[in-house]
Parts: sequence; C-alpha cells; structure tokens
Amino acid sequence: MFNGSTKKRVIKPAFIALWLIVAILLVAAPTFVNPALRSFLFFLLMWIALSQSFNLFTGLTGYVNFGFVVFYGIGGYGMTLSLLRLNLPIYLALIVGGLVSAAFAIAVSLPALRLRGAYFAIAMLSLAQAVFVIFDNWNFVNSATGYTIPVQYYNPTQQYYAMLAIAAATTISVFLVLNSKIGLALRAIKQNEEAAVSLGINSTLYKSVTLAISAFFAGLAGGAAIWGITIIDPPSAFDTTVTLTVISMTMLGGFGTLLGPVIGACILYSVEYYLGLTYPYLHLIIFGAIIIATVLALPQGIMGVIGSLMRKEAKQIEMKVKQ
Amino acid sequence: MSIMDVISIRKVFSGLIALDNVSFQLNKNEVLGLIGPNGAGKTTLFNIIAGFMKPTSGKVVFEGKEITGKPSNRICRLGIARTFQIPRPFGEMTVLENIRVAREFSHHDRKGADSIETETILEMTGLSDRIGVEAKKLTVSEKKRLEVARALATTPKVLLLDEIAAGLTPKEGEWAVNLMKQLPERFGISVIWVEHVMRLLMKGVQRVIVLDHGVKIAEGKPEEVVNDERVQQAYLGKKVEG
Amino acid sequence: MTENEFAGSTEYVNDETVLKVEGLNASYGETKILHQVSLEVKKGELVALVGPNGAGKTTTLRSISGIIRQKDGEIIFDGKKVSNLPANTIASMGLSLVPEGRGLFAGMSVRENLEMGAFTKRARSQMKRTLEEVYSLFPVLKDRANQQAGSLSGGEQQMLAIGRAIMSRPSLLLLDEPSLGLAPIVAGKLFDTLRSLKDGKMSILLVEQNLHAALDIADRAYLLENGRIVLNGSASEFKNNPQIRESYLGL
Repeated sequence: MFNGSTKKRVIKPAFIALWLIVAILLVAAPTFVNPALRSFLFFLLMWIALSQSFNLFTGLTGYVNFGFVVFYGIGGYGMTLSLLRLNLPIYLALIVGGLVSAAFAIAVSLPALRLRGAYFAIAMLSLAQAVFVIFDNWNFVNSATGYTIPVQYYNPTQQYYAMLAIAAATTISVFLVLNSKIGLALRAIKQNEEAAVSLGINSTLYKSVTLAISAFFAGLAGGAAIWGITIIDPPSAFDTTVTLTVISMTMLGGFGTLLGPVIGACILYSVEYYLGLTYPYLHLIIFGAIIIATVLALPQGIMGVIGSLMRKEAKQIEMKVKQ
Repeated sequence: MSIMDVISIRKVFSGLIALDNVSFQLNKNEVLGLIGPNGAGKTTLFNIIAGFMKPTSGKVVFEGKEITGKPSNRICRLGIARTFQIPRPFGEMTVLENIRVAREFSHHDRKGADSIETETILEMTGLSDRIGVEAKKLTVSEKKRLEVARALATTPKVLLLDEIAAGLTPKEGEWAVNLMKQLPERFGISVIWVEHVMRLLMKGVQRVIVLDHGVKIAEGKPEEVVNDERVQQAYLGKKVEG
Repeated sequence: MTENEFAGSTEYVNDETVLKVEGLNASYGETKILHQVSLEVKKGELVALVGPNGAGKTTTLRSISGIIRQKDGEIIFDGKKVSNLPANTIASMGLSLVPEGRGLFAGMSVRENLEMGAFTKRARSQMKRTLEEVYSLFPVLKDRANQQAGSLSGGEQQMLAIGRAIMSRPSLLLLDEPSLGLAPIVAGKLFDTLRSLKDGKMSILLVEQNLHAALDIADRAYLLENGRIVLNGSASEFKNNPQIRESYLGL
C-alpha cells in the first residue's frame, strides 16, 4: 500500500519515452481506429479512471469501499439531470456530476468513517443498495424508467476525448495527492491513527476529503460513461458488479500503486471484452478466480511483483558495489 | 504563574469512580510529577488532559482558556503534546519523516511559534545518526526517544510524558533526568510526568502530585511527599486487622 | 504428559530447601526483565518477595512456574532441575501458582473448581481428604459449595483460588498479589489463613504489594527492584529498613 517514504523515483528516459508514445497513440486514436476499437478504448479508459479513483481511497486508508458504484451512479445521474433538466453544456454537466458525487461522499463520510474494517465495508455496500432502491422509486429521477440521452448529444469522438482526459486527470491527481500533505497525513493515519491524531492530524477530515476526491473522479467517469452509453437507469447505475470489477482490477494490478489500476484494468477489461462476445457473464467467474489467485499467490498484485523484482535488483547492485 | 489548571476533575466508569475531585496547577517552566500506586487513576487523568477522554465533570484550563473535552488533535495544535507509554511510531516511515509529520500538522492554531530545530531535537534524543532508519526497525529505547522527539517537533508549551523511564538502563535514566532539566531551561516547556520509576522521577521533578484510588492524597516537593504518611501507606500498605 | 507420583521427593539438594533459584534472567521479547535473580524457600517457610511496581515480581513467579520460557539460570524444585520444563509438568510435580486475578472457572461451582484442582493421580486419590482440609481452612467455601464461582465476593474468590491450588497437594505454593482488590478486613482474614497454612508446614512464596501485611506473616523476605534482588533478610530486619521506602518511593 502507499506506505513507504516518497522516494524520488529515478525517471529513466526509456520510461518517459514509453509514456509519450502511449499518450500520442491514445490522443490520435480516433483518427485511425475503427469504431469498435474506439469503443473498446473508451470503456477501458473508464475502467482505468474508476479503478484509479477507487484505489486512491482504499490504497491510502486501507478501508475497502464496497459501495463504490454509488459514486459512479450518482455522478451519472448528476450529469444527466444537469444536461436534460438544466440544459447545461455537456462539459459543465460532467463536472456537476462529479461535484454532486463528491458532496454525497462528504455527507456520507461522517457517519461511515466512524466504522472500522469489515463494518465500514458492509455499511457502504448497504448504502449502495439503499440508494438503488431510493432511485428506483423516486419520481424526481424518473424512478425505474430512467433517462435516455437524446441523439443530438451523441458524439463518439468528443466522448472518447472526455474519457481520456478524465482518466489522465484521475491518474495525475492520484499522483499529486500521494505526494501532497494529504498523502502524508493519510500515511500517518494508516500506520498509527492514535499517534497521528495526537500530533494534530484531524483524521476524520482527511479521510473525508480523500473519499470526496475519489467520489469526484468516479462521478466524472460515471457521467462520461452515461454520455457514451446514452441510457441511465437505477439497476445499471448502481450495479454492484461495477464495484467488484474495480476491486479485481485494482487487486490484480496492486493496491496502493500508481500503475496497478492501469495494468489491472487493461488485462481484465480485455478479458471481459473478448469473452463477453461469446459468453456474456463468464468474465465474472474469471474475475472471481483471479481475485482468489491474487490473494493466494500475488497479494501485492502485479506491481508488487515488479516492485520486489526492482528491489532485488537494487540490492544486488548495492552488494556488487560494496564488493 | 500557572500555565494549566486542572479543576475538580471527576471521572466515573459505569459505577466505578476512577477520579474524584482532582485539582492541581501546573506552573510555567515547572516539571511536575504525577505518581500513585497501580489503579490510582494517573493514566485516566493523563488521557483527560490530553483530550483522549472526556471527564464526567470538572474543567481543564490552559493559558486561561478552557480546553475540557476538546479533541486531541486540537489540543496538540493549541500547544499541548503527549507521548504514549507504549511507543506508537509510524513504522514504515523513517525517523526523520516521523518528525516531519509532527511538524507539518501541529502548528495551525499558533502563529509565529518558535520552532525547535530538528537538529536540536535529534541531538537531544540521541537519534542524530538514525534519521534514515525505518521506525519499525528501531530498538525499544530508540522508539521511546522518537516519541519524545515527535512531541518536541510540535513546539509544545506543555509536554505530557507517559512513563518514559520504564525499562531504561541506568545511563538512559540519566538521559531522562537530564531532559527534564533542559525542557524548561532551554525551551520554556512545562512538563507533567507520569512515572513508576520513582528513583528517576524524584530526581527530575520540582513538585509531585500523588493519587491513590482516584483521589489526590498529597502534593509538594519530593522530600515532603516521600515522608508523607498517607503516601507511604498507599505504596507500602498498612498493617491489616486480624 | 506424564504424571509424576510424588509422595515427597528422594533427592534434596539440601534437605531443607524446597525451591532454589540461582542467577535467573528472564525476558519478554526484546526487553530483559530479570537480572541474575537468586532466592530460596526452605521447607515450611513463608518467604515474601516484595518491591515496587514494575520490579518484576510477577515475572519471577511466572518464570519459576514455567510459564515464561525465555529465560536462563537454575531453578531447582524439590531437588529436581525444572528450568527447562513446561508449566504443566512443573505443576504436576507439586508446584502450584495462584496467579494475580485468580483465574477461576467462573461458570463452574465452588466444588467443581476445587475438584478441578486435583488433577494428578496422586492428588485425585486423596481428593476427599484434601477437600475436607480445604473446607476446614475456608469454611465459607463449604457453605457455598454449589454456588457458581463467578458469584462469590472478591475475598471468597481469592480463598477459592488458594483452595484449588491446595487441592493438588503442592509442596510449594506461589501466590501473586492475593490481597489485590480486597477490602482491608477481608485482606486481614486472608493473611490469617496464610499464616495458618504456613503453620501447617506448607511452603509459600508470596508476592505482595502490601508490604507491612506481608512482613507480618513472613519468615524471610527479598526486595526486588528493577529486576534485581537488592536486599534479603528476615522479616523483622526488613520492617524498619529505610532502604525499602527508598526502593518504593525513590527517595
């Protein structure tokens, strides 16, 4: 998890070059890929954004948010209502979706964060279920019918760039938070909450803020997703499988690492995409199996393995230098 | 000149009276010892002053303002720091980072407070050559000293020390007593020191408060308190009937 | 787990000595608590181990009874080396510890607790006789024989704890702070009972914070400070010794 000291990473030129190439490809994609691939990338970027925002809260605090999908759904509804009822421009509507989700997170965090461990997890799960039932019966949000985003808003290229921007913003924000005062406070809280409090840290405040940031980006991604999917209704907006998918992706990639969610999302979404063509729900079984395998064999995820390989290499180099 | 007033503190835990009408003053630049046999209520009183617990009734006043019941992180930012009996370091962080955390979050409410330099803190706690070591790898004695270092990094006006002398070697004990001299003289910090290792406490404090079964039974200079019959009875027991 | 038939032992280091501890060092994890502790208890003696809070008195008893294994030094009980034996073996050899806080089976009756105390074959074969001895020593236990142990008062519970220890027909009784939490009058009765036990030739090693009460019934005493024995002598030598006060109060 995000525990250790913020070591200045030695940024190798090859590393930067790789990222630049990826970035250029992603930005240029809509010009040369076919619609199916563009759609695949759209949702891949969505999963990256969602996993990254999930990882921010859970990786830094250790609290597993089993109700995570609620931020996605509320963001989606926030965007939809702003767009269709308030007639806001789409990009503003997306941001409103994110803000509503963040506000919801703050409201919920005060009671929820008093709970520890498993109790928090279950409480958040129940929260997601409760929100689903409320939306299903609430006229204000069109209850079970939901909304359809009219054709005039449909623009796959813009949607793609929006999701790309959101995924990038989420990842960069996570990086910034990690290295900020908030990140320091959260590491202290995670390692010894009582000591942290006795040194002046308002632990509830910091956990709240982190949950709100996580919710903001999840809400943004949710809004952009609905824009692309064009329909929103309670069952799909508050689907617990979204939470489970995000958890598996983050776990596989490595909780608490910056790149983990990215790797996990790439692998698992590819699996889901190709299996989903022929066997619609098989991917869930595979996700389950991957979770089990990860817990048993790779508790730190893929990034964990890479991390220890790098540490081994560093140690070997150290020993050689000593000799 | 009193810097802190503890006034008629009472604490009841489901029928058990842990503290009964305890009052005392801490004077500026004073090192005050708080002692008492097992179960006397020292830790409870300590936790109430530090904001980890609310009293059932009574007040704690710091620099003329009431701080009773304020959360412990606020109390730290007001200038009252504490150590923990069993050290609570941020294990995965280095010594230096632990101290950094203390600095970063403790100053909000006080403007222009004179910070104690990190170098000075490290020198005083003997951790100068361990700054890059992960806290979980420190020895027990070093962890205790890190507790003190962190507390000092918050630039406190009052320092609450919880049994820092337990298990120290004689040399380390000397260090503790020496620390008690430096804190007020060098930094103007007033200290409340809860301690079981009497030998050391009596050497390091100017005044002592004695609790027994939740009640203050004596107060005064070390020599006075040690000769007080009630104190002797509390520690040595008295002849029983039969 | 073998039970030792013990009607009394065959080899004594010195015919009079029931317990001899020599150079005991004990630790909890990284922290060394006891440094070269040496003491002995002779047959029929009541020896008090006193000292300020945190000195290591409980650690000493737990090391002797085998609960603490991280230790070195010699512990000889009834002529046999027990330093490396597990606690249950030492217990079945006739060394009974009454721990701080008593450790009773709260849900069982008084009588059941007592019967549980007689676990070796030897003790069980004499259970009826021992039970009668315990009842005559602590009549209140006979009155409450069928009552749940958890419902007894503090003093009664302490008596039950001691009674249970006696049921194993020990050669040595280790008592850890028996008067803790007891009202003065109740504690007084308890100390009277300990005196009777001693008069009945039971060997006892008593750890007690109530210094005066302990010295009133002890033959000899040891003063433990910071894990080291700093003074030993007869109880009367201890009584007015200012070093004791210094040890407890630091000045």
